[in-house]
Amino acid sequence: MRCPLFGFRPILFLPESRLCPLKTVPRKTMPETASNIQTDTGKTTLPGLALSLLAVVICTLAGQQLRGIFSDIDIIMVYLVGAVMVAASLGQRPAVLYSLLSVTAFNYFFVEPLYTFNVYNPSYWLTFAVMLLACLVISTQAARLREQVVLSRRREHGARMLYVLTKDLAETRDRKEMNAALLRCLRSSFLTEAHLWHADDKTTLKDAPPEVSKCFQRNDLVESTARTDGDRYRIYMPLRGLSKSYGVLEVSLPVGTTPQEDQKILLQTQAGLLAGAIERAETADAAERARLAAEREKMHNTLLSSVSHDFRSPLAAIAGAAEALSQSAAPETAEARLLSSIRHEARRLTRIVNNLLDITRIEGGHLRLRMQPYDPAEIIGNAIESSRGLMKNHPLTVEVASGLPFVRMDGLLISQVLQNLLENASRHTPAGTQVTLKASVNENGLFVLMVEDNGAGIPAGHERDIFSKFATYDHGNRPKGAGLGLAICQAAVTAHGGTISAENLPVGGCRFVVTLPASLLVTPPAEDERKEDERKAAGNDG
Amino acid sequence: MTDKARILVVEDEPEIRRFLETALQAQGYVVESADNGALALKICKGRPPNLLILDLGLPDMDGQDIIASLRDWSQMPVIILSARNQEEEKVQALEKGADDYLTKPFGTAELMARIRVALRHAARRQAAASMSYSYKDLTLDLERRRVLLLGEEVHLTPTEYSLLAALVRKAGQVVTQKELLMEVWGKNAEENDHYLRIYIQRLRQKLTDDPLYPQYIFTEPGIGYRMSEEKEALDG
Repeated sequence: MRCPLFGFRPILFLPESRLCPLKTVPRKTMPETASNIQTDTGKTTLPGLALSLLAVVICTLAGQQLRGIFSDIDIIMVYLVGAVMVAASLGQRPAVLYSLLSVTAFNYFFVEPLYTFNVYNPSYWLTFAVMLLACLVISTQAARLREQVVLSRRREHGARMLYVLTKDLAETRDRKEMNAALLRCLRSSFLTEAHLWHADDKTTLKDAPPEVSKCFQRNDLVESTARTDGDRYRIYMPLRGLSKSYGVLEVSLPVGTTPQEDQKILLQTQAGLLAGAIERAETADAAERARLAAEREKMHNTLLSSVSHDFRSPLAAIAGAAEALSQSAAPETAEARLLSSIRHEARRLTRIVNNLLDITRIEGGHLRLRMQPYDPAEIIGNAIESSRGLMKNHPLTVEVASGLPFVRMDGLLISQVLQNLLENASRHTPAGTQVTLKASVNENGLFVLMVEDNGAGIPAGHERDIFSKFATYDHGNRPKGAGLGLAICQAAVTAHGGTISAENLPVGGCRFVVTLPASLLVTPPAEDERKEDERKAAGNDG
Repeated sequence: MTDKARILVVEDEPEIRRFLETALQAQGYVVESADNGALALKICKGRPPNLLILDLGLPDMDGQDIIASLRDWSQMPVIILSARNQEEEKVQALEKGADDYLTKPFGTAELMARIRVALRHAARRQAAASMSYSYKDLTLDLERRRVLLLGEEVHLTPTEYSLLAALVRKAGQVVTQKELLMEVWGKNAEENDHYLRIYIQRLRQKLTDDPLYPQYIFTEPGIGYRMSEEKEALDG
């Protein structure tokens, strides 16, 4: 059927990739399809009208060929076939134009007198009327059919896209791949520009157009109509999950087009699918993380408890047995001295194991602070009491400012910090060296603890690195530590939000300064209860 | 009484068990031992010892469960052995009914003092003896609710007095913060540890007890407080 009328392919036969549910195709993305799809029922385009004119010309030429062989009625049939074609391919308005033109052309070229608009036989008026009516009915029906086909194609395409998207989203847990799947789907179905704004990506959401944040805050669809001719119509859809929104999908349509209701619904469905996929992936990730964390925690605890058991128990047995023996040994004998040596070394080894466990615990993120308000003096008292053995050759002066507020802290840990600092002072200075412990609140409202000695001080340049793990420096023939005590101090103080530093004093010796933030100072609660209590007491006494 | 007291040592480490057995026998105690929880409970049910020394980390049972099941039917004193950094386990065990704890490594003197105090408290509980407390310059008559410092009466508020009494009733043994709060302020005060610190501070002031070098009230950070042991017990 090589009729000139079929010089262009009607939309019905368009290949899938060229099917465009929107009215026009963006020039950049698919330039060649633009010439093929340009009409729509809603809009009459100039080429559409020109083509319907061309169709009339072609039908007239065909009629001229048939003239003399066939009757006028058959020529009318040729025009009717043209009407169906025009309606099916160009839509209703070109078809109406075609109807009017074809009746006029039939009159001009085929009805006596030829090449005039006059009609000798009045019965032809009826022919014209029937022909026009037939043309109009046929073209209307054909145009409606075309619309139906376009719509169902679009729906089918949408459904296929959703299927593909669902499949793509189900196959991955990677956010990037999910986003790519959605954008791929959008581009193939709407031939449009799309952008995803993720809520967790704070910087991009900040740079986003105001509509994006508006959409995100309202958690609802936002549309921005074209303000100028060059503007695109944009739709913003929240990626709405069950518990929260994950971001915003921005879709900008090609210039001069507006979306239809079913397209908006499709877009929202796609956004919803992505949100659902993200939600599912996040839940799965969270579950996985929790499982791993629990496993790690379990392994860590098993390791810690086995190490503590394996090392500390034998050490406890050694120290205890040596102590029990030394009670029955005659004092000042070689035996007593050796036993005392066993006892002390076992205790020292225990402290090292404890420090090692502490640093493992802290570095593994297993340090859980048990913050409670304490009278600083009682924690200092506890540290002094616990360090008594270590400090027996170092006179200790304690200066606690009067009227100190309570401080929220992990009492055991801060006591440990003080014990480590005292141990450090006693180990790095000769016996008899004066050690001073001070506690106060400084002018900035920070709680300050200081441990000073007047020993040899810290070798120049080491004021900072003495806090790093396993840092030890040579100080004569005294036993070296494992270099963990100060590292633990630093970790513990940092966990409280405080600072620790060391400096040499101009007069000799060094000073360790621990500060705890002002936010940890506790203001005393209202006096009401105390007064009530005092009042009752007075009543009792009286 | 202490000469014949039977002590059950529940510890899975043979070295510690041997050391404890030797040290305790040297002090005149009769010692039995068990290396697992099931055996320990069986011994406790068959022929209850006077005191139980329990390691929290046993191979077959959680020490906490042993204390819990023991406390269903027995008030026998329990001293737990634990490692440092196990403060939460210690507090938990104390709240389940353990009487006291020792952190490894511990000295023999410390161990003997804890045992003595625990046995004495148990004996007093059985005799339902009215109690008075006396240590250094401080005397407390629980029956007449009188507190004397160097013979002079100390005026305490009712809250201060009940706090001191709670500590004195378990003198020589640790009392957890929760225990003190419950006893003095009642059930709803559990979280309000700030008050506890304030009253301890005031109590120390009234008893002229320096928190830096305490004589009467000792702080056990993260766990609670311990009132010093009575004079007679220390001598004996």
